[in-house]
Amino acid sequence: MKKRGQVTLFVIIGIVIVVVVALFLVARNTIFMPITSESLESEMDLIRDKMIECGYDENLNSPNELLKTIGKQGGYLETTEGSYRLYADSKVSYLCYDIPNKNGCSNRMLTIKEMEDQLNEAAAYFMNDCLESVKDTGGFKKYNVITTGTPKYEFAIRPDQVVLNVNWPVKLSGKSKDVSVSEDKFEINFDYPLGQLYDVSQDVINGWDAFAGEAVTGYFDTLTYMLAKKGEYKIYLKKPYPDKVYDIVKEGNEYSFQFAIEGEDRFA
Amino acid sequence: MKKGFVKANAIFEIIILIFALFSVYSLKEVRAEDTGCCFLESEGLCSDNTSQSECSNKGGQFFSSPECSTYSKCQKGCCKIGDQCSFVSKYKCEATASSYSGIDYAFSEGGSETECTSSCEASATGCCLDEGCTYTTKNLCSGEFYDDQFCSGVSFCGCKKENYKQCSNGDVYWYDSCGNKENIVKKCDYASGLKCRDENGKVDCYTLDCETTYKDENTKDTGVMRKNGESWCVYDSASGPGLDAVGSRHYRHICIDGVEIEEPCEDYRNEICMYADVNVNGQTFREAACKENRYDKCMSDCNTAYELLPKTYDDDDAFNQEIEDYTDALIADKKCCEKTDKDCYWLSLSSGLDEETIAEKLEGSPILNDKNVTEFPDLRRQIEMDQALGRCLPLVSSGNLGEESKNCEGGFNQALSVWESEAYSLGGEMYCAEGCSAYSDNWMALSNYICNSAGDCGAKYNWKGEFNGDGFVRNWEGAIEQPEDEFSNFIENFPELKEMPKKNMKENLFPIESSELFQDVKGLYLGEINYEDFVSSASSSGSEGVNFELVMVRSLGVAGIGVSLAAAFFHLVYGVELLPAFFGSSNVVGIGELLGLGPILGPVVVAVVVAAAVLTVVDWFMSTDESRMVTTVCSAWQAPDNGDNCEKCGLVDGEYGKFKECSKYKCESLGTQCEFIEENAGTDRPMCVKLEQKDITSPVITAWPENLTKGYKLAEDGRGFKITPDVTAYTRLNVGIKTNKIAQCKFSEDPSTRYDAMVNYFGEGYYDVKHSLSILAEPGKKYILYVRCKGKSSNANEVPYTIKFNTKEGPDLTAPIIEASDPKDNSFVPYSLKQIGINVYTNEPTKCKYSDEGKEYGEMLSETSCSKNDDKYICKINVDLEFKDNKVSYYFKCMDSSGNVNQDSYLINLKESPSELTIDDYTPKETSLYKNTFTLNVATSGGAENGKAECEYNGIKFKETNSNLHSQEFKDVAMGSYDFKVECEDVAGNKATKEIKFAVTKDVNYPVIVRLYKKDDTLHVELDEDAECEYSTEDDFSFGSGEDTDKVDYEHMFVVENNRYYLICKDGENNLSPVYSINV
Repeated sequence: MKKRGQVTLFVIIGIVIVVVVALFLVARNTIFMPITSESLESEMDLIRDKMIECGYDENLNSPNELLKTIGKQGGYLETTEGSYRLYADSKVSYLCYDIPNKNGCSNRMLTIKEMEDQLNEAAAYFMNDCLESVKDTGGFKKYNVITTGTPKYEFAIRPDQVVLNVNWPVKLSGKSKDVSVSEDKFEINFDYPLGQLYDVSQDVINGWDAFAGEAVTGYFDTLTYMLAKKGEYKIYLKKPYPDKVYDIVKEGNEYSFQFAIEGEDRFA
Repeated sequence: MKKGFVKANAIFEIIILIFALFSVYSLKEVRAEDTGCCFLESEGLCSDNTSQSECSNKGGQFFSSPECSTYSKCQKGCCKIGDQCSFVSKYKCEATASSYSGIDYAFSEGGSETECTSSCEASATGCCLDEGCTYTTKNLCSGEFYDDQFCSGVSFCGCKKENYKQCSNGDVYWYDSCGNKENIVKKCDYASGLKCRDENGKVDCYTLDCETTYKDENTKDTGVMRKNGESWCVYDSASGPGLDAVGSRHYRHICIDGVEIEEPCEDYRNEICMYADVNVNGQTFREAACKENRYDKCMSDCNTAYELLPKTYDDDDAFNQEIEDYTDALIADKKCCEKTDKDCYWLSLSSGLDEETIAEKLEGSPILNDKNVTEFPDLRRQIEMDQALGRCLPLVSSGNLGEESKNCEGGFNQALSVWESEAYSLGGEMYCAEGCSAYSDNWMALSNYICNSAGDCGAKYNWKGEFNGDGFVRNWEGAIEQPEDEFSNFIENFPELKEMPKKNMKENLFPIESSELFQDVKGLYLGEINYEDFVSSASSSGSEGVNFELVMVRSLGVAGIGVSLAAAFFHLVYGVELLPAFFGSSNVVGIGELLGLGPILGPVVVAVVVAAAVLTVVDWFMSTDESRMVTTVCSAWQAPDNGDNCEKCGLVDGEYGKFKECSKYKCESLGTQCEFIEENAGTDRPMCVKLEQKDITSPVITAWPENLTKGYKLAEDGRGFKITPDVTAYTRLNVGIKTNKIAQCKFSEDPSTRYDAMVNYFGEGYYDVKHSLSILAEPGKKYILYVRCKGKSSNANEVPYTIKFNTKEGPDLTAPIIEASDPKDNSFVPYSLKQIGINVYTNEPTKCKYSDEGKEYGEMLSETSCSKNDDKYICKINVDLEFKDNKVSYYFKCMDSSGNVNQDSYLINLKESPSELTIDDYTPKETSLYKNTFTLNVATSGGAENGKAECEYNGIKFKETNSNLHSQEFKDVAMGSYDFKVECEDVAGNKATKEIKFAVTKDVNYPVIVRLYKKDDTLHVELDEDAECEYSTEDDFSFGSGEDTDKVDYEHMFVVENNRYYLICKDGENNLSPVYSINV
């Protein structure tokens, strides 16, 4: 072989060696990963991350988007004719209906449980789909992913945050080694003070007197309320005739809860 | 049932006509479904003003009082969960704590919100060593707790002391390098307008004042610095009687935490903004409030005198009586107008007529003959009448644009002028002798001003300063002839009398300069108030029992004067009588000063009224040839017949949605071609557009590439676009289009579907120029979306715009998911049911099978039938129920079109109801109850859960139900028959019904008059039941002290000699009626 040809050959061999070494370094954790409970625990962390990723997906039916929707629509994901008014591109639910020819309004009595139930049901469709890939996490790795049943979703609306508990037994079990790690419940946290904003909405609807300590039905002044709470909440009140739309935001947090109170249309 | 009651029902319609002849005062309020307080224990929710049925539906406990604060279960106290405190009820505290697993809570009754917050801040805290170092309360620490020590002081933690500053609860604190709170650096006094903030990395106490505010070109005192807690009014135009421009609205602005927020008052001026400057310790705070505008009764109820205008000039006695009646009516109108249950203004038209003025007028005439004016009773009457002259106007007119003109009729005006040939002469040419100023521009201006006060009526400006005079016309009778030389001055003063009789208001005759209407408007200013006077006057005005002094004292501890001012002022203005000191002035000068416009109407009024008042005096002594009426027609204001200014609605500083949001009322006042787009309300899109009436061209659609989901590209082909590469199955694709004008867009997958027949909106269906759609891609499909758009007044696209894309075929390696079933797992089925339909829901098209034991898919027996419903796939099967030990199980598995099969079965267990549901017992069993308060009790047994069921009576849920005992209390019910259809249903759907009938025989209703008529001198009274009655001519008589009709019957009669009688009746159950007042 001529000298030039030998050089070329060695160069090619060198490149091949470099590529093989690089592949080895990249894939060693996959192919040669030692199976210990610690390594399985870190794999379980990947599953937890996947949960959070699904929870915060941009899809309109992801838990994060559902929470935003329920905030914009006054506590209801599904709205029916007559139960809402269109404002700011949202179907803002009436939480208090007009009583014709009478002062005051009839309280629709939105409850926390109602909101939680709606969220539980709506989140299932997207989350089940999104979490399907969890079963394939094992792949070429040296452990099996064993799941039991389908996930059950439970939203917990707390004052300062919303927590989605995904009740889904997941077990990571070594293929050749008798070691496993399991988790029955996963938690996804959303920094949305929905519980507190809901409480403020109830103060609005029930009427509120900052000082007498008693509710005066039909009386609510946004300014005195905000001052008494030391600016912790901002309440934006708009009056698209004949209704009132309240938009409540907590200081330092962009999440908002918006709802409407039905008014009486004198032209109807 | 009583004879009288039956009779009343039968002849009720006839009685209404007879009622018109008499006044009967008896009120029985008809109510809609009563609302009350609903308590939901599971959430500690106390919900005011909730209907009983709603409360039952939610499983709550209903109380009849609409306010929950009266009930012990809703009493608030201090709730401490972890290191957080809140002022809530005990049940709310428990419910909140339960949402945090493993956290203790503590509740203490009573106190105040301030005390509660303070107690949290004073809790024992220290450093907790538990997988790190955290500064927290002892009860939250599960590791080693170092009481009252910062973590930087605990050597194990390795935290650096006072590492950085951060805000906490509005104050500035030190934090260590581990992120734990340490000592306070600076307390920011919120009451003084300070709060902790991090501005550009500097954490300190910053002012909460609004350094700059919105400068409104119309309103005075805007654009200035406002303190935290201040509020002020912003107006679209001047506000006051006859001043508010068409389409105008009032706004309240507030400064809170350095942010200016606008709250519009209700549209159509159903609410008005009022404000005052309150002086507190040398500082001035402005406070404003939106208040209900109680305008509606001002013109209709308090201008009755016009019907009694004196007109019988040829009969002195009758005329004098008419003047007295007219004067009495004017005085009553003024009293009506100034009553504090309305927002009216009494426009006095008094000229200040007195003895000297009349004497001056009649100087030199033989009438007085050296006598004093006061010696003439008729002249005295004239003076009294003049002093009472006036009109009641709304303080702020309502916005009634678009309503019928009849709503403006109250704004009419009229005057009588006298035309004669010559004093003491016969024949000759006519000239105007008295009341001539009714032909003047000034009189027309005043009349138009009254017309403007009726609403959006007459010749007026809109809020953009455009004038239209079509809503006002003046008419006069007769022809105008050349006056005699003796009154030559007359024509110089009133040259327009040569013109045609009818005349419209022109802009240059408008009573107020447009600059005064739209610049530096002062609005509804109540004046300056001293804080101490404010408190004492507010509490003495009796605002529904709220103790203002106590309110003030408590409030100062919370957030300072600003808060108490805002609250107390709101109390004052909202629903409380206006302090008469601010609105007591009824003279012309007063209203002018109040509105900051000066006494502009004084000379006009004097000129008119002197003429009118002296009219009859002249008529008395001089030969009057002819009296002529001058009248005005006040009708609805007309918007400009164009759409040139539509887009200005809601536009402030070049932006929409900033301040003064557009509304339908505002938009329509700008022009007849302006249309309000409801769908854009609350957005920053234009809300008021010009109808392109002659533009029938459909919108032009183009692609909106920026909206396309990342990773995809579009290629336009002139009639639409195609998206590449192929879309992954079961993902959402965002596509967007733009239109060249505001339009609404729809789409279909059938090219022949017309726009009106399309059911799918492209996006949300808003009227806009940008439209976005999110579509779920089904696998292996070729999509062609045919899009059509339509503008507000244009046609829809004939040729559709096409959007094309394909979705990937696969491979689909995922087994289908059974997401839900109906019935659910572990459900009960009704008793003796032999077959049931089961639905399972999957996420993709599948075939499903089931079996009664766990098997492989291929070994399962029966196949379901599956179909698609919206985005869901449903598989249905009817199964025979073969229970073993009251249970049966079904195992479901599904396979998709790619052959993927569920490994795990979806299990549905169904439980049998052991027996049918029955209603075993109930009370009351009696057929007749002599009491008005009783409890309906029902007991159930059997069914799925040993009688546990939900029961209703006549469609309303029992208060206590959802067990095997159901009860509902009835209080103070009326006498009569009751028929309750009780229906119960348990979780399995087992039903039981029962009918319970009985009669309540105790009468708690007082006798009611059902018929009343007079025959000759006898008044006949018919009641709805037998009773004894007494009557009197004194209104304060009580039963036992009146004249007896001597009968115990449903019919009574007695001879009447006076105009008014009072009647009380009592039935056999001693139910006493109210005092009926009868005008005969």
